[in-house]
Amino acid sequence: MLSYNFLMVLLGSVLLGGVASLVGCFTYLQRKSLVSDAVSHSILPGIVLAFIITGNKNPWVLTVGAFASGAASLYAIRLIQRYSFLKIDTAIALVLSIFFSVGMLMLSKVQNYKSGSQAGLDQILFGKAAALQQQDLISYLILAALLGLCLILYFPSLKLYTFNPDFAQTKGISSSFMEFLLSGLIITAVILGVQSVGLVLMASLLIVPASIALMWAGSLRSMMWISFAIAVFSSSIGVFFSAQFSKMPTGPLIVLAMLLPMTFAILFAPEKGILKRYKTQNQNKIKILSENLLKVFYHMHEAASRVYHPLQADEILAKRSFSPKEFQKGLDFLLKKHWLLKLEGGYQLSESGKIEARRVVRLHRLWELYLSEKLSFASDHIHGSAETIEHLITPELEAQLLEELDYPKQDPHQKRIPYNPGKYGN
Amino acid sequence: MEISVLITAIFIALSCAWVGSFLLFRGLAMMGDALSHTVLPGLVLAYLISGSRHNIAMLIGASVVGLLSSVTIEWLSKKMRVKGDAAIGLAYTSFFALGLILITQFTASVDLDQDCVLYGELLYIPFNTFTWLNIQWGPGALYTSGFVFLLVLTSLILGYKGLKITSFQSEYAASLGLQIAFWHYGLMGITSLVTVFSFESVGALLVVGFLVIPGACAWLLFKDLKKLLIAAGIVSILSCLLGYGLALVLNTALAPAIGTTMGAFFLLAFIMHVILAKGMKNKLH
Repeated sequence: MLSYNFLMVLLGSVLLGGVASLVGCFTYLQRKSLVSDAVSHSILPGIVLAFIITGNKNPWVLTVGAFASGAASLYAIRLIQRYSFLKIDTAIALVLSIFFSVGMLMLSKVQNYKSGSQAGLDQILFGKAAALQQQDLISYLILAALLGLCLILYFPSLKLYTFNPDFAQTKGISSSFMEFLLSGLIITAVILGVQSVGLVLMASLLIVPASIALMWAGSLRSMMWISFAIAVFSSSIGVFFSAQFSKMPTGPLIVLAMLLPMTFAILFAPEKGILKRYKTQNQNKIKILSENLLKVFYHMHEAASRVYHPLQADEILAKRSFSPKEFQKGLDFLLKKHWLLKLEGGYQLSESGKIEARRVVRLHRLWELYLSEKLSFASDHIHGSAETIEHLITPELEAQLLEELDYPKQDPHQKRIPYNPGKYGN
Repeated sequence: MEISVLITAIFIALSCAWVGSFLLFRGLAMMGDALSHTVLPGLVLAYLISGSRHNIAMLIGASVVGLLSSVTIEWLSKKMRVKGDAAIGLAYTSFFALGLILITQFTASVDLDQDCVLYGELLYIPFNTFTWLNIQWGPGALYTSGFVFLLVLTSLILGYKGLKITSFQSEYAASLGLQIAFWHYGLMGITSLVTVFSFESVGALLVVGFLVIPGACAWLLFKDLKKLLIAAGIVSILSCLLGYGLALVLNTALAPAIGTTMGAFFLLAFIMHVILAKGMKNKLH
């Protein structure tokens, strides 16, 4: 069974992950995700060196080391960008791999120590929350509190700088100070997150919760809350499972646990979710289909000098070809909307259906007229464009078109533009 | 001193450096990093199914998983609108986490563990000998790395023109009717192949250095592509030699020592680049 103290350690490490993910929101929005990846790999030499020099694993000692090499890596990325033509992507890969190689070299040296005081240092790579000492955890929680305080204090300027750096500058927010602050925040977040996730997979804690949160959130504040919740949820799964199995590192479990909310978001997110996009696509399809059907009805009545009589299915299909399945779907939709009535002699437009049909034909003809009058298109080049745009024109746009064209009576093919009775002299 | 270790290291470093140089030209350095992580689950599955480390067919299958990840990354950034660089981070951590879990679950059935992921096992290469027809042929890794080296060399020679044009003049290449996607995925495929075969010697985490550092050193100092590739090769070979010495002196793992040496070469190349650029400026004034 898990003891009370042990449970507290696990909960604490979960909290560290949650706080770290808050910084991920800023790095994600500023497209600095891979920079943070470089930082998380680059703190390794600092940590190991701090251990080699002092011979102990005190969190504050390791934090100083991590800060030094994390800051050095950020500076190195800037130097490479400033003094060479290498792109940011290359600079990141270079710094990441060089710092990490040096760190691994030191770690491999330290592994040979006979004293055993290095034991557990390599757990920083893949994380092992259960191995965290209680007094160490307290130090990290203090660090997390400092980070949270910083975020609260500088929230307005961080927000402004993230979304509109130029405007922030005119408001007196110095961009070099913001970069400095962000660097500090990233390094601190990495130090915190590494305690459970480990530094190899640290990037995911800064990327995944933030990217999921952005799919749901409407504001930066709610994005941060959601990302905190996701990080805490996944970390607890990872931390508790790895505590059950002694061989299992925590990091990979947390990362895999994050796939759950990720998949959920990919499927159900309000705008970009697959289901939502599928639904919108279907709605558009049926709208276009039914409007095309309405047009056929209108055209046939127009040919019959606007005498409304019921139409048979084969009469409609002779006018415009629909696949049988599509045709049935369109008819069903129109019947459901009560735009179409099923009578003994066939189908006939209802009063509301007539209004709809006039609307679609009107938009088609208005657009044709607009293209030929205002943009001087040849009259044989306008039908195709109107076929598409008639489904898209909003009532506001229609009003504008009407005004521009001064409520016209006829389209370029000398066909009447249908208005509803009583409108514009009809 | 085991000469076979050194030769294996050189084969791998050269393959990585040449493939990696083209990644650099195309701005795909971090993609190389991602691929070197994402091949892990495929690799573990390949080991689990075939039960051996030297089943070349299985290893080629494993690199398909790497290729799959590059498709995933594109899908995430284009369809789900996950910001480009974040998509890379998202995919590589997920694939790699899966691979690590597989390793911790099945270490008993394959002689593969976290240390191998971390440091590679270059120094143990002489112990894993390859036997065929009851004759000892020497270290198996020597043969697989030689095979990869030859594969990379032939593909580069055969695809040199196409790779060159699509890397440096992609619009021109498109107007010539070259299949940009073919060259892109071809390069991705060979990158995952190289990382798969480098895995047991170098470890999954240090491959990215082998891929990008030598090419970056050479690019800073040479503009001609052939000279550049030769220079990248020389940096790789020298790094292997000096890194081997470093590992012996410090008594450490070999792969990080080679990576560190490459890092030192980059520092050198960068300083030379800055000095040369200053010299050019002074001449102009």
